[in-house]
Amino acid sequence: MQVRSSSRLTRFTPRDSSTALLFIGPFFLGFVLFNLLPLFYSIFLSLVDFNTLGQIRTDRFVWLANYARAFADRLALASYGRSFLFSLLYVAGIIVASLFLALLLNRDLYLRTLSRTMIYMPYVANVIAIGMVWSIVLNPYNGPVNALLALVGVPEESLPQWLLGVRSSLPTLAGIKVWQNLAFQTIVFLAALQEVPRELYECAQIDGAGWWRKLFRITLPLISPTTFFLVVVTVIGSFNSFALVKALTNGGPGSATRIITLFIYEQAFKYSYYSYSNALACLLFLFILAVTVVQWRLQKRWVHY
Amino acid sequence: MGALLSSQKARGVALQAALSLFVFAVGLLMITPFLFMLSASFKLPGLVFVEPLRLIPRVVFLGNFQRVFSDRLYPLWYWNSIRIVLLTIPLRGFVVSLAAYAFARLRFRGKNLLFLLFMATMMITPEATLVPRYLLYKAFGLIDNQWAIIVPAVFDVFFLFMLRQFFMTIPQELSEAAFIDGYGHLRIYWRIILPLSAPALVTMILFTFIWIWNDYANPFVFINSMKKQLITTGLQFFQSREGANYALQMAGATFAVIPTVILFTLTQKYFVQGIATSGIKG
Amino acid sequence: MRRFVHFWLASLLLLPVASFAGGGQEGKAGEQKAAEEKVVTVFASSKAMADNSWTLRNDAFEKETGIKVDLQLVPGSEEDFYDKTDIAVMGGDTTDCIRLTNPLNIARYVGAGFLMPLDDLLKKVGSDPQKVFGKFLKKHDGKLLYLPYEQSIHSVYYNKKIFDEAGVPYPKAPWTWDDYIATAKKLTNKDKGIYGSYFVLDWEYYYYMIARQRNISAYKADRSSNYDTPAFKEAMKFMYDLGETHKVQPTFKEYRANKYGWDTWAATGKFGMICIGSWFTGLLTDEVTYPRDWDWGIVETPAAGPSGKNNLMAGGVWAVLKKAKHTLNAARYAAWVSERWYVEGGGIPARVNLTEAEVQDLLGGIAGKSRGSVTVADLKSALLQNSLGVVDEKVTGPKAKEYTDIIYRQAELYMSGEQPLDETMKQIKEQSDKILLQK
Repeated sequence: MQVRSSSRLTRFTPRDSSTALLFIGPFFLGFVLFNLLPLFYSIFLSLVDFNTLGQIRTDRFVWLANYARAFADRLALASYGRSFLFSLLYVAGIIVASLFLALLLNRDLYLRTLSRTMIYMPYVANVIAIGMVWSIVLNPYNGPVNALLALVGVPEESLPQWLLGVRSSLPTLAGIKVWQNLAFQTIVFLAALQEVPRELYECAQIDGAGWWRKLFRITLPLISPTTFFLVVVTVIGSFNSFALVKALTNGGPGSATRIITLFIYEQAFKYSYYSYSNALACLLFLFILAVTVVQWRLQKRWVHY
Repeated sequence: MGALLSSQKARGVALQAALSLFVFAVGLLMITPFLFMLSASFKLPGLVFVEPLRLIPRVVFLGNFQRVFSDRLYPLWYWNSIRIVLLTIPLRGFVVSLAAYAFARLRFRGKNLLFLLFMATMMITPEATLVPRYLLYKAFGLIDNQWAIIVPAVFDVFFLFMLRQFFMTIPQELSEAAFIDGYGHLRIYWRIILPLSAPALVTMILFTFIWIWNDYANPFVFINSMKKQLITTGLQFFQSREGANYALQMAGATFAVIPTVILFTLTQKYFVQGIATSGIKG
Repeated sequence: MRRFVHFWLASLLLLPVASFAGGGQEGKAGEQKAAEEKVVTVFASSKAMADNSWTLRNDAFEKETGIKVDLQLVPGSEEDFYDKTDIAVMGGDTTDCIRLTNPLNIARYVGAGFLMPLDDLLKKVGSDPQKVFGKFLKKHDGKLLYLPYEQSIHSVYYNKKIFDEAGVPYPKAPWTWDDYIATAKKLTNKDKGIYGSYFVLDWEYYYYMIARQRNISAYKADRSSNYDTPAFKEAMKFMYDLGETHKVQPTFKEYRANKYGWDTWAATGKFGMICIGSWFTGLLTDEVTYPRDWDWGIVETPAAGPSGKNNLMAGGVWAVLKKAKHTLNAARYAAWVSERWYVEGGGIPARVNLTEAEVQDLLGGIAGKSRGSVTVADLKSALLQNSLGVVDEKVTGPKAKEYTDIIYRQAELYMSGEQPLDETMKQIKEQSDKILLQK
């Protein structure tokens, strides 16, 4: 009954365009209105001189002046730097941690379902609650963590300042974000691990390979497409930490956690430099795009399909 | 020979137990902040900081929850959040799955280019476009309106990507058999593809719920009236009003977290499977 | 395929119908005359929502005029309030009234053209601002853009219970900051968790308070920053010393860690003295929102040396926004509220037409609500007839917001012990010069 022609889809081709139009139509419409339009408007705003509170003045074109200003602004450059550092810490932290957890959870452990559920929990909390809870838990003066450390014998002067220290606040924030998002990466890694055929491990076992070898010769290469996907997505997501920073430190102390998305927000909402803010945002977009492209190119080196 | 094997077995069991314990400990560590949150919500307001390591309060104080439930506005905000989520999920479900179907199973010109364009927009951080979006929504008349949250959320590229990957893994033979039987694309979509995609769809529903339930930035900017606030912005309000009363805030936050915890636990088995077969990995 | 088209037409039709289900768009009804719709919309910060005095006041307004007050909540902290209102107003929001509490914001809104001139509107609702507010009115280009609802000067408020328990006599005017420190030292009792002094460390003007008291401008003649003047360094060091050197108040880190705020002094009763504006009496007379078991006293601000015998003054205003929907109701609300803010909210009104009896009443009201711990004479000598001159509390001038933000951020670093004093002053001067001397 199955008469299959060599080019299976050709008999559908002529009809597909109109079908596709109807299927994609609504999404495309909404996409243009709510994703593309703001982007274009943002680019447009960055090219005019709309930098004061008052009427929306978009008549004076200054082209790249706002962009030039960004490069001369030490505070802006510092913010980009902080975001970059934050991303580095966060992505490294979460990829390693979630892979490690996924490897463990892949085994037949006792209480596995319970442990798994507990590990996933932070993902569901809302950012304000997280802010409140961590501020209390990491209170350097009478919070539980430092109380515990003191109990264990850490002297008072060496107790970490967590969110209140100029040097410790950014890493602490990265850590909290790792805690929050661990669930998603772990799940994805777990799914990928389950696709690795057991026979490969068994063969390796017979050949006398230790867990080290198994990890680096079998597991990692076989899940590298997933790893790649996660790294790309996580890097992009690491720049989306506005809510977390706002809820926990609001850029402080000083400007220690003033990452670029917070800086962009402030330039617009506190100082009314709307065009400047949009220029910074476009630069950020280009930066993320560049990073993604670089990663895409590099994948030939380490990703096995 | 028997003795060798059984000692190996014993070591295997020991290793298993050790690792299980470790993972369990990690799990405990992950939920510890929640435990503190829960514990604080049952403490008398003045005692939240007094004994920071004490999880079970000396006196279990129910007054915080009483105040939360009797608050005039809290239930309203809760309902607003629920309503927005209930509206977003089906809308997003249909619009995105239809588009994903097209990208996965139809052939038309410019398909890949269009998809790439969609993907590129994932790299725009939402805060960066806050000002343009505000002005745009103002022009559409969406400010101070639940639709300002719902409508943009419907056209989400992340799930378009995920569903497309998933749909691509469903064998073409099924579609072909259906065509032979006279099915059109719409029926194939509705009768065949969707039912087979249950794990991916559940994943989408779950994460949509979580992300919208916990969204703070969008309601903060786009909602004005106090009656229309959502639970996230409402909680923030609790904080400013009560100032130093952490116990009350924690009670409010605990209660706000409950639906997501329940939903997450119930749908656990689906989403590991969902992502596994969605072909995202490769 | 036809069924498909039907499907889409059906869903397109459903969308507008669905939008009316619960919380939908307010119908864009035709322009209704403001007088007809008995409503006035007011921007309110989250703190204001929970403030009992607001509820009382708005209820009283509705009772007297029949106009309902619809508060538009702006969630988030006080400083985030303007983030939202700025963009809303610029985008064409039609909210009627707004309260501007900081000269910085008043200047910004005036400059942005957001405020509606009130002269004609007030005439229409039968209100005479000149008669009520007199010299406190400030006009811009001959137009009246806002009405002052209070004049706030700083005083030191003290917790009598803490003084009594420490056996320290109540502070007497005139006095200096050295006296203040000495008194605070006697009150501080680490074991009981009591500090002698408290300042709202989130507010940047405290970090240049001493300099302001000596009326030293933050700008040089050429518009650059005057922060290299020693007085500013002294002012900055003063705040640092209170917590770290004299140890009479929480250190900055403690303050942050425990999330102290602007009403912690009234809410907790763990601090001996606080130096803050007279609007604070509003908190001290509101025992519903701030219940307490201790009494308070008031005395004028200490002087900052022989050249620093000045009060810090500020004042909040009410204004009507340019795109207001109910202009007459708005004007009425603004006038009504500004005139009698002090009745429910405490503080001293910016009015010129209060009779001696009414002044007595006003002070008497505060005194009465203090359960007798404060007399009318105390209030008079601290607030109205003290030995000090008057200067503006805050820095106002070009790019004031960024200037003061820079001051605050550097102060934060210094106060957290992360940056030495000289470096802090240097950074402030450099960064603010860069902003101020820009084109």
